[in-house]
Amino acid sequence: MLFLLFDPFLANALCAAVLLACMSGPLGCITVWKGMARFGETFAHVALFGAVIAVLGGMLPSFGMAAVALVLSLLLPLLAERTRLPIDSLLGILAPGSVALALVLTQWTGLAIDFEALLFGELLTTTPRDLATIVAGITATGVLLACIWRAVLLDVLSRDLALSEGLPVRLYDLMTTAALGLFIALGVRVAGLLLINAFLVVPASCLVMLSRRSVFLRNPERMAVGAALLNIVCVLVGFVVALLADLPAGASICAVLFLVFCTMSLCVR
Amino acid sequence: MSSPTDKTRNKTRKETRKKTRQRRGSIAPSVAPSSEVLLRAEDLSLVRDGRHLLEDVSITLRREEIVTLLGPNGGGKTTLLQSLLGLYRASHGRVVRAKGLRIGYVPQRLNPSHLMPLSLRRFAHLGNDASVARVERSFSELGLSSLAEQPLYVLSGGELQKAMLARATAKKPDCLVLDEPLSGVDDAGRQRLYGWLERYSRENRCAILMASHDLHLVMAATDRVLCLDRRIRCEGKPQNVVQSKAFAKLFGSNRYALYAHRHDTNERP
Repeated sequence: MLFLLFDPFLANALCAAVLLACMSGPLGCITVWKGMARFGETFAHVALFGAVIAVLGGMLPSFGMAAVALVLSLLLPLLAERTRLPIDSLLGILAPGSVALALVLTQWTGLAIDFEALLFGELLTTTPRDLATIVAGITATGVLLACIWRAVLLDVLSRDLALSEGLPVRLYDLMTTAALGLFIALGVRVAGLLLINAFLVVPASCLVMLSRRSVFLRNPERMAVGAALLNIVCVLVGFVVALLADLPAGASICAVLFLVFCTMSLCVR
Repeated sequence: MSSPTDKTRNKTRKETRKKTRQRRGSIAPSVAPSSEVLLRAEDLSLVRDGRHLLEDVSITLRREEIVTLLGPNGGGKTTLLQSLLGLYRASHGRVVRAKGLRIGYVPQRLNPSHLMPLSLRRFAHLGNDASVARVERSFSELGLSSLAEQPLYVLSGGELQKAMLARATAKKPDCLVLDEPLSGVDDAGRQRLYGWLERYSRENRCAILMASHDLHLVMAATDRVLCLDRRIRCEGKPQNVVQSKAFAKLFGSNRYALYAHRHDTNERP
């Protein structure tokens, strides 16, 4: 059964998942450190709205989701500055609002949308073209992150210190959410909203727990690498399980991540 | 030491200024005017959320000078320091910094997130190119050596103050801007910390501008005290300022005990 992993068709899917898993390590850590873990979740809701709009306009739903991801990521820091409300409040406002709009629009226009595909993605249908897009996007996100990494560490620690040293923190905020938006926009077609979310939040949270126990992991970079590795292991396990038991791949990986978290929260103190 | 006539002249001048609201240069400094000006605020006013935080504040910091900013809670000390650092845009007036000025800033508090495990050593090196030897030296002088590998979130308030001081001095600043540097430091530690600051300032020709809400904690080596309660209420050598009417009005007349930490051997010329 495992020889299927070497099938070129599946190899695309596996490569895509591993690449996304890899990038989720550092990106997820930043998301958790900055208290933006709900960003992905909110995006899942807002993306439904994007998908509905795209279908109404005669485009692919994934295109609408990607567009909305980018717009949201650029708009959020501006909105936060304008309203001077904390990010999590804004996310809490955007999520139900956009779902409501999406539902009203679907009812009104009588559209039929495959919400399951949006949530879990279609990992096994990854084409070489999807893969190329993901490679390009991951590279861009990686470069963006590498540029702002140290500044973000200082900013997470103390915004006043970062500002007093003349760092353009607003620009960095924008770059962080842009990297996040770009990542979600690219991954959403193949991985789906739930898996992208799980990729970002679950391993980073596990590593936070582990770093309290292990002196070796008490270092931001090691935490990021650790989260990426944990993600990759879960992708591989989830993939094999999906192949062996003939289950949907995205959901299996998501479930494995969840089980890892449950085990860790019971065992690591 | 300025003569009584000087003081009266200063006072009259200040009052005229208040009445006519003339926008002019800074208040006459008590240090020889030839020494280089590092940092200067001219008629700085700041209104935030409808509240006047600063009104016509002028302040000058020269090389090798130690200036203490005294004032009640809500008097605008932190706001003034942060305006000087460029964290706020003034509603009126301006801030002038010497070209290429390196400032070491120690904010009032640091609340390190327990989600991001950053060691004290990493923190001291973050965002500067300080040599290992230099950081190690300040660690040992401040008694932080044994804590170097600890994550910041396990350190106490006093230890964090010293940690920020170690980081602020790591980049060889021209001036240190300290916001209540003694908060969270125990009595014995205060004496040592002031001693260290004095020595550091002298050896490195580094100016110090520090805020304090407690007049008992004014450093013996202070060249100049400024009392800030939205406006500069009085200014001058510590022993003169304590006897001024404005000072009595601001702090109550029965609080004349100034030097809680006199170092007879360390008096500056």
